[in-house]
Amino acid sequence: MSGMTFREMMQRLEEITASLEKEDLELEEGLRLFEEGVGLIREARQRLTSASSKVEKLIGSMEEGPGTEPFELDGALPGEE
Amino acid sequence: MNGMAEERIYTVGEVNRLADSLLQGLVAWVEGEVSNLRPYPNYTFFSLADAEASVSCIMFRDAVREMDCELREGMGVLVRARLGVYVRRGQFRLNVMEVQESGEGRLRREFLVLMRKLSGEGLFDEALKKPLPAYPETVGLITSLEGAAVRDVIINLTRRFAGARVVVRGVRVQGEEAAGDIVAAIELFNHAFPVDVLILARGGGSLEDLQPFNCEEVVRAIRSSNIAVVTGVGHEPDITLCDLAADLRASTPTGAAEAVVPSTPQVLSLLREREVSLAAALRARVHGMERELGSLRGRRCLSDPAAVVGQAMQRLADGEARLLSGVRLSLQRAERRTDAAALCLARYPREYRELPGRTEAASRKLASAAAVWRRWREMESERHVKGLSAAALAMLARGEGRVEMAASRLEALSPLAVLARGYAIVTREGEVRPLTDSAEVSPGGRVDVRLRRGRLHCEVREVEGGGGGREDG
Repeated sequence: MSGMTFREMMQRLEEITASLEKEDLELEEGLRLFEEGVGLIREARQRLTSASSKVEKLIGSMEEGPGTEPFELDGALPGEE
Repeated sequence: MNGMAEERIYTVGEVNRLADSLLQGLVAWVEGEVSNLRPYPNYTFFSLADAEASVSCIMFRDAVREMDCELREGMGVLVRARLGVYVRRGQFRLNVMEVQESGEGRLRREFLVLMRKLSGEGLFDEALKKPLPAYPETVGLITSLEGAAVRDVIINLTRRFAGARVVVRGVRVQGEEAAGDIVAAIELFNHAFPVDVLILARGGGSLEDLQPFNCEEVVRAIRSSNIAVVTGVGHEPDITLCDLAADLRASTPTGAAEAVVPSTPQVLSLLREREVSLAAALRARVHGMERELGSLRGRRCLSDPAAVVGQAMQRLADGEARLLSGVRLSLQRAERRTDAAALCLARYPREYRELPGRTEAASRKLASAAAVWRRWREMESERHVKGLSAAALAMLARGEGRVEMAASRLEALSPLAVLARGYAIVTREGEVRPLTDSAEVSPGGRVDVRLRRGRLHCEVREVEGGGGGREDG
């Protein structure tokens, strides 16, 4: 589950909701989807609240190939915790 | 309305009016320097001069009011004016409808010419706009590493959606080299460093400052980018050609950041909504199970096992009675009947034993489903309502932003905006389709001319050209 990107998690969550809303679903399957969905929600929520952004600078060119290096804005970000 | 009749003798007024009528309908952009400025309440007089010549100008109150700048002696201007003759004095005169400062004016004109050309090629078509990814993992930012724009975008991106990785490519955003830098950055991201979405940002500036964002090569680079491009250029009300070509235009760098990533509270509300639907769906399944169980219980053998046993006993008793009273029946036959009755009796209890087993399994499933549901409900119950209304508000706010963007884009493309710059729409009298070919009317025909304000009802004096396969207006 953790190997998924945020977008993939949100997509999977939508699929789960859609199939869970279909009538012809065995209860076991429904329960499995429900648990998977709840797990995804938990993980998505955790990623949202605990992730910290990475800001980099793109250097190089088409000829020499691209690379990145860390990029810091001058001074602290206002209001940053 | 007709040309001059040589044999006729004109009064001075008539000949002046004739000259004026010959010039009627001619509108020109004229560049020169303001001199001899004489403002009156209802109009302003001045002369427009360059190294070679000068011409008198009159500008009426409405046009003066519309101006962005104040006329000054010696100011270089570009004016849009109707050509005419002041009949009382036989004086050739420009009726100025619009004034722009000269340098700016030229840029504006070039802007319009290029806009028309690129628009004609379909570069700004809505159909070409790529949708933005809903949850970008990596955002490419093309902007100057100095200044407020880079800061505004990064702070807003990271604060709204902490999960995104931001990769900044520093470029010059002003001057001769800027366009080349921007094009190279767009290509570098596209061919060597794929990201989910690109932001092209710049702080506000004059039309001249924004020139790199109005140049053809940058517009083409944006349009040929495989990665969706969002522009956030300046805080000018003016739209740049980059904005028109972009997949989405935000009016500021901050706006671009907001358009590209969802806000964390928004996503949290969405997650809450998903949670609610998951739980509702599960609850529906549990109810379904309950109904099935109910119908299972409704079967007679399950609801009243005693009756089933009673029936079997009755049949056994019947057998016994027959056995006793039927003296002619052989003992064997009587025994067989007893066996049959016993078998019958045995079969019912077996069924009875099996069915409760199935009921129990169903009950267990139901209980575990109910427990999961109850656990969820206890944990979350109060927060739904709050979450949902926050989500609704967020969606509303997002919707408003979109409408605003659409409105400004629409405004830029509106024919009324073109009219405001002094172009006119000519239709045949009573028709709505604009005329594009002079062959569609004949001399003496009537045409309506729609200006920015009001209409002119005109009669065609002469028709020139047109009718060929070319389509120029």
